[in-house]
Amino acid sequence: MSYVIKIAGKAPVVDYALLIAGSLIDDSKAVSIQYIDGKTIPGTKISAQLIKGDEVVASSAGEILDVLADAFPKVLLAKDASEKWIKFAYEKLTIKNFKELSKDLETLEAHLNFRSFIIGYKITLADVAVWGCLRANPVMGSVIRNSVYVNVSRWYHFLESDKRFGEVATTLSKALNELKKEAKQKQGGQKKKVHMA
Amino acid sequence: MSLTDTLSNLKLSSLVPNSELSNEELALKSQWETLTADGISDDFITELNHFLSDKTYIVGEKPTTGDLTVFKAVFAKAGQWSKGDISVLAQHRHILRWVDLIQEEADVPVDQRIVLNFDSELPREVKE
Repeated sequence: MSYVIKIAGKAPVVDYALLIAGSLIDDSKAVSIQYIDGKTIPGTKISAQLIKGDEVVASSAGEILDVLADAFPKVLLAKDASEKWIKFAYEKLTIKNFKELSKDLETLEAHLNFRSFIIGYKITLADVAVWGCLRANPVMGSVIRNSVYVNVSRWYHFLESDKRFGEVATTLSKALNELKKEAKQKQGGQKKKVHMA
Repeated sequence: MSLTDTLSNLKLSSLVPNSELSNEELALKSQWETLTADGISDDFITELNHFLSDKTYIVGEKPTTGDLTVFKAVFAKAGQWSKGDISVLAQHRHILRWVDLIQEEADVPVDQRIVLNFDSELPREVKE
């Protein structure tokens, strides 16, 4: 049975990590993404959900990544070792106050002194989560661009050059525009009908 | 196998062929190959370390023959730096990070690898 990731495209912290995980899995029969043009999933207060069949199997980014990593261990690597990084990413790296954030960026910077990836020598779930959270954090754009943290910028740009990371925001905004267009057409169609009646 | 043999037989499984590199990448790669052939001076080391501060590989997103050429030339020195104190580690941090990546990808025998303490407490580098 296949999974559907529902994602609120206008959440205060967009769950880019989930979209990247979807791209890494790269099998639309196994995992599809359903974009929602709003801040939350309708009828809930949450910004992402993982559905399998008719059932909600996970309803936070951490849980969703967990379930997907269990289902696709060959593409979402190092699940266990990534856990603390997923927690770190969602708890610390989504903070928008730079002063508060900078302490944790220093931790990441030190970690990347001798490391090209967060764990080992391949892209793991830890990279996906940390990169996704930094991408979603509006204060990070200029921090990355100006190489305030040299290692973080190097690592970030390296992953960004991978389309599965680098194109995630464009894919999302395209999907949201598409939704808007559809909604407008629907509305337009309905209005017309009313007029005709 | 001696280290010299290891280095001369070095192969990368995922080497990107020249045909897949852009002209700019080819030029940059050839520039580093030329600089390496000219000899490993202190200036070369400083420049290489700075160059690698914002690059995972010499060019592009995967290893090329450029990585192999430079790697072979600096590997022995990197082994010495890896045993140095914090200031030596800090001064060569980007080369060491890159050497560690390439030795993994080139599958250098474990007993010949440089060994890094990944959690060395280096002072944070501040870009001038």
